Amino acid sequence: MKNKSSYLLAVNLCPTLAITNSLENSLIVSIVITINYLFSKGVLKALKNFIPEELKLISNILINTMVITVISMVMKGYFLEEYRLLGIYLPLIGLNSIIINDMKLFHSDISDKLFIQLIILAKVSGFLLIIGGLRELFGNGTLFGKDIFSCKMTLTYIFNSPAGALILVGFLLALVNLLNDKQKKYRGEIDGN
Amino acid sequence: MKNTTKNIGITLIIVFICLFVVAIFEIVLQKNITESLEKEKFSIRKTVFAEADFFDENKLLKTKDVTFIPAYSNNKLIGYVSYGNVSGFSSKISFVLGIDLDGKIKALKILDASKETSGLGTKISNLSWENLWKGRDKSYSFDKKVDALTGATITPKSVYLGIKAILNAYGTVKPMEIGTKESVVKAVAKVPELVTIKKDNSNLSKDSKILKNIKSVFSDCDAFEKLQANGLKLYLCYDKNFKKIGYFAKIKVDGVDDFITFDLATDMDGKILKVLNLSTGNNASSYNEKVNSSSWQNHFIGKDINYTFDDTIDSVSGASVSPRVIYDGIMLALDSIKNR
Repeated sequence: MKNKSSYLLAVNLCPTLAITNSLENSLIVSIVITINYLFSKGVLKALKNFIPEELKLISNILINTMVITVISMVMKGYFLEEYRLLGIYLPLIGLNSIIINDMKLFHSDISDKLFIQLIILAKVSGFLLIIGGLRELFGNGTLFGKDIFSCKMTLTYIFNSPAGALILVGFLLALVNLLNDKQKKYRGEIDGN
Repeated sequence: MKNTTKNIGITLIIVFICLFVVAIFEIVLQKNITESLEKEKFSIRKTVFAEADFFDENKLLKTKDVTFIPAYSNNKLIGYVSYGNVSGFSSKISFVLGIDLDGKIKALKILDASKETSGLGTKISNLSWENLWKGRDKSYSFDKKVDALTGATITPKSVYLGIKAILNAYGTVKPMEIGTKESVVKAVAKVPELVTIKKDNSNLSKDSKILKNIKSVFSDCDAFEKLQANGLKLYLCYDKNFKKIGYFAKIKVDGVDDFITFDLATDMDGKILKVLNLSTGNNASSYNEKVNSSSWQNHFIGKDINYTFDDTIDSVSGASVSPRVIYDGIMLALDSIKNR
């Protein structure tokens, strides 16, 4: 579990491919993922002493489902446009949170500290924002709906499609791995000296 | 055992807590959700009828497939709003249409075409394409040069067919008193055939070319009467004793590249007896093989005006438009027969 944020990014792949075709959408997805994770994590933490070890997984599922249902109702009531945008992927975001929490159950090396978890969530959100931003920029020539450059190339439509997002995710993961390797190598050289 | 019972108890408590929280939120947010949905509905209708300040759902105008919602400005009826749903290239496309009292399109708004081919078919959601439709009426025919998008013909054509169906339906209810309950009843009520023997045979024809076609289904047919019908040729068939034996329609519909022509025979109740003489013209023949097959044409036998297009049965792999336009042509004929 060394590349936690990469793993979490892969977990978020389904909504990522489908929704993050603009910076604004990516921001919405990031906010929903963060709120859902923090709330469900908070409830689970509050009930920690009450829930036996063997019921942690089922409690995790139930509480996450509850939180995402409440989030979807709040969105329906106050942010209908954003709710329509996420559509079927909203429960999937809940599922992601289940998996993230589940990882914690089986991999104790993920720190339980709020600060560390916020950093992981920030990294996931950062990835989503980069993907959304790049797709919007190269797909439509805009950022947050504002024109950046005119984009008439027919090939750019691939960035608007899930296939384009998958390619972009692949490149980003490769870049992250490359940076990690370089960092390791650099540290190794320093230690060696 | 004791442990299992305890675990079941704890699980149930968690389930009840979750349900309780969800129920509380539902009660608290119900009003907001309803308001929010109403607001969304209103703003969608406003996009196609900007002048309207009220849409009265209690005075709906209905035909079999289409519903028209009256739009008012300062309590004065200014037009109608109608929702459409068509099969596009790879998914369902939904749209909303504003129609003024003359039957002209006020505005078109594509609600969902997101599952069409990205960057091609999805371009129908662009404002520039939607604006093309302003001011058009039911007499407008699809112009490939203007209405088709580069690399996407089927998606715009499907929307055009949906729009045309709505405008044709509007034409059938428009001459009556718009907005009254009576018009709704008149539009959907079937006029029973009380007299089956024709006493006045002065306008009967025995044109051998048409009669030959008719006789391939109605061998007893001795003469026919040409009926007034929009968008097709409709004949009422009589036997030697001037007894009405059925309807025969010659239908021509717009395919992807060319017109599709075919004939339709029904009994006096409007039930399909046969679909015949189907010609797909210059439309891509490989896609239309199934449409041309008698087994596909025969599956319409026995169906009537209540039959709705079924993607699993009626669609043909690789050819989304042809089966749909043939179905629309059949329904147009059955509607004309029903309204007689």
